[in-house]
Amino acid sequence: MQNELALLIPGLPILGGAVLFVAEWLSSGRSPRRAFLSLVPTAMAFLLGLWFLVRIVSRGPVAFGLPISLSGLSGHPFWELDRLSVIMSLLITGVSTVVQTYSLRYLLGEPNYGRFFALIGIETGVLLLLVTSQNLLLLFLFWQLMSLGLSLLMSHNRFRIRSVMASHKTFVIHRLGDGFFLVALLLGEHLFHTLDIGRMASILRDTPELVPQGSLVAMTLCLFVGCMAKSAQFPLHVWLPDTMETPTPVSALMHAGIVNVGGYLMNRTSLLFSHSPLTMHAVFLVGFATALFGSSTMLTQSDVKRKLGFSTMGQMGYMTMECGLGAFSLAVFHLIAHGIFKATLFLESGMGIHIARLEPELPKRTATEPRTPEAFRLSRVLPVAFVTLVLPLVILLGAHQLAGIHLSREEGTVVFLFFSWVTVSQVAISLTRARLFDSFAAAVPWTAFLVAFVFVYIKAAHLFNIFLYPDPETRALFFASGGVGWVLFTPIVLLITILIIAGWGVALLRGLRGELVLPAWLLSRQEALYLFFLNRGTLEFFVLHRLIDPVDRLVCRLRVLFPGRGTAR
Amino acid sequence: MIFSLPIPVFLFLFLPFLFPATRALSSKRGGSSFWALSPVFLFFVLLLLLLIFHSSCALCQSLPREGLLLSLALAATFLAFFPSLPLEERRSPAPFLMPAVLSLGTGAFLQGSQPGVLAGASLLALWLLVSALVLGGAYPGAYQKFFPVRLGGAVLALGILSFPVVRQSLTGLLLLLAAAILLLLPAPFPRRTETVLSPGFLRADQALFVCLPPLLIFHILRAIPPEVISPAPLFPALGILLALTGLLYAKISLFVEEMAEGLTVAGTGFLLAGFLTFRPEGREGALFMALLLPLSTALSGLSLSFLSQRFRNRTFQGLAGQGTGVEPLRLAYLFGAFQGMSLPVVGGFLGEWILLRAVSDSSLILSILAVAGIFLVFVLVLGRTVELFSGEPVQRLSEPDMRLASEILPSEGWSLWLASTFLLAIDLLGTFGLGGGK
Repeated sequence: MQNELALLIPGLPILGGAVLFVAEWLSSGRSPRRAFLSLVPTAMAFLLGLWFLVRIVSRGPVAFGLPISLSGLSGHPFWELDRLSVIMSLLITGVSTVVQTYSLRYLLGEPNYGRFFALIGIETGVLLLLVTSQNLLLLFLFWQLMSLGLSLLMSHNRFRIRSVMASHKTFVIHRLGDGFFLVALLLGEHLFHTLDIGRMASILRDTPELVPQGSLVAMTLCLFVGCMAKSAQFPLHVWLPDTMETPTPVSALMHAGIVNVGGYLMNRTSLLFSHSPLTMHAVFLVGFATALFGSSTMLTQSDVKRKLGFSTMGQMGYMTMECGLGAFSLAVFHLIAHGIFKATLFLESGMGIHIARLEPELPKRTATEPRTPEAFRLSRVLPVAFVTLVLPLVILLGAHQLAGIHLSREEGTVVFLFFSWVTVSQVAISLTRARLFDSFAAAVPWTAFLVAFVFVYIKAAHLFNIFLYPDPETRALFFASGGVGWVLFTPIVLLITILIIAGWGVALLRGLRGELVLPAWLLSRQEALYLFFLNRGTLEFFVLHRLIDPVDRLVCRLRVLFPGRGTAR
Repeated sequence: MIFSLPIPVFLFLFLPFLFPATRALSSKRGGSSFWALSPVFLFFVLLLLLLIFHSSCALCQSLPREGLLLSLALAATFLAFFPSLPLEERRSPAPFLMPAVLSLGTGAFLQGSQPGVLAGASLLALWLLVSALVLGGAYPGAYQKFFPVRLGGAVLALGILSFPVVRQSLTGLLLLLAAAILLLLPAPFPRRTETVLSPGFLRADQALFVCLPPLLIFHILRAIPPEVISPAPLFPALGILLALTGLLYAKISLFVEEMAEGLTVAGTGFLLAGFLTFRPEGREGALFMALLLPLSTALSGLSLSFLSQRFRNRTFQGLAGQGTGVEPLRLAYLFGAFQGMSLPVVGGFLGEWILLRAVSDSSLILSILAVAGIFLVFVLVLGRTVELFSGEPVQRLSEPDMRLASEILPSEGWSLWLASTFLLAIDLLGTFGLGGGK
């Protein structure tokens, strides 16, 4: 009986949302207290998830079959709460609870207040059903429903045309990915004669020679395109920047929960991916391009929410890179960490924007105190440069010695460490701007704190790896299939390191000399590159105006083939 | 054949015939359409109960669930259009024909055997023609130009069905396909409505020539035994081609009815692609599509028709931004549109999946084309939905007119409620109980 309680984890939010929906529909009164009908069940689902986490670690997964027979669906179990799904459930219910609590006041007085909470509750339930499905067809069903729910949430205010258009674009891109997912399912059915994930994994483990490599690569590539659309991977990221038009709580839920499902699916089907190394390399390359594009575009944006949106894209790129290198569990760890901090940032940005609207003088600036650029001081910059350049070495040595991570065998971990380095460097720069890093004396305690934090983070990630995939052979298989080989990997890492060091060198020289140190031709390229990223790579313009519009015009000319169709009565 | 049925079944089948009497009584007393519709409604409840408890019901032991589902879909489609017909249309004999077809069609399907299936197909085709004649009589000139094409298609289909030797050959299949195309091919919309623009006529026209053809074609084609044709990718390719043609037609449509026609052709193309794989799964998926397409078209078509009537405009451009004013119409349209967009829950998702699996068994390239087609249908329907709900209105009604327009008439409410209930019922029953298509 206690196992059956697990069904309440997705059941509670859906039930709460549905009851609220019906209550809103039937009653003319609009009491804000009704929002608790969705919030409380979601919070209860989170607590239940915590209880099941402990239970699953000690007693193993909880699984259920389908009580009815459905055409085209077979296999057992259908629904399973294992380590991966319970972790994802905790993230989803946790973020949803926070977002709903925040929205209680943030959206107070908005039209369709209750409907918004009902939709969030149902969407949370759908996400939970998605992460607990053990059959790819069932997962696909919730995968589509999730897109629908997201679209409805995004067009919450249907009189705001930009929100509606953003929702439209998002839905179309997601459905494009769904199409590829559907083709992957058809290929999977041909290859394995089942869509039960566990059964597919056991076929690959026991008799991999029965599965043709070419078809498996095609299937995993199609699955990956499905993930690309949901996780905003280049070039299917174009929906993400426009979603900033939606209410802030929706942005938070989306960036903290919904975009992660791509990473989740790659983890859930990790055994399929790990048996097709070609796909793994493609995943790495797409992740790399996304991280580079997202992070670079983020630097050029002036809108706070848009900046955060591109930051999410960059982080999703890192996550995908980790999957491509076989560090699947680290990708999950990363997406959890990212989900939590991005939700916080979005909710804070909402308040920030709200305050800025109330305070027209923000940032405070007066005629008597004009803001002038500060003079360059070497003593301010040196600690940061020192910390950011030395820190990677400390991190690498620490990982090797303290966490016991063998970097020569786990290339995915290097990406993770690289990400930690970049993050810590960003923190160091932020501390400098806040004048907390002015001197070496001030920098030392901060550095010590950061180093300790990074070690704890790395150790936790390493333990999480063992927690999620306890079988060492599976972990070894992942890393082996994602390995690009040190011959290729070392130059990539070296090149990036040299670029970063060179960047710091140029910045220092520029500060010391007080003039531009780069040649004019390079500076013009720099400007072009800046404009390129400022305009989001002009990708949307190209697709819309060069590809879709001409085809659209051509199709519309076909009207003349049907006589008498020109006039509308 | 029908006369061999037991007496309780006859009584059950007689129920819809009470409709003209109850409607006459109801209109005299100024009663609501609910009372007028009560015999037909009771008929449906009994039909649903038969489906649900068929294993424990002696009568139903001999009934193929699929036949009942077909009857349900067919009848529900017309019932949905029933209450919304304006008063002047009631003078035509069409409403009297509808219950007759409902009962006789159900009776034919209840036989459950191959002759029963043939009887059903013949009946449907004949009914299509008779109704067109009746409507053509009520609105002179309405079907003048395109009626011979349909007539030719129906005569050809019935002729082939009558000769088992021809029916069981490749030539028979090709001829039946040609007949199906003739029955399906929508005449350019303004041609057949150039003389008649009455909303009642447009709705009846939609019920007859947009909603019915997928059911009719499925039922005609299924008379061909699958074992006589060796599966070849060429046949499903024809279905995909038809689907893409329908899609193109829908894309360039100006009028809401035209788009409904185009999408029905596209849906029928997918249905044919699955059916013509000559695999049990393909047949099952095609059956599901044949059941759902008429109802979803009926639902979204009705809601758009009511909207058109309010704003006196039949183009998407003219209706831009007007979709939000009347909440029940909005919900009904969305319900139907979700089905068109192949979204789960009301989207016949499993039926579509079964169909795609059959097509992919025949040819993977074709299944990829089918998936692309599904995506394009989605993009088209979503685009129109956004235009309808959030587009910039080209006309605005005055405040009193808008108040009037936002009220929904009881007959409209009933139509929409019936169509959505049966769409959901067919979806659920079909999902859990398909298998008769094999």
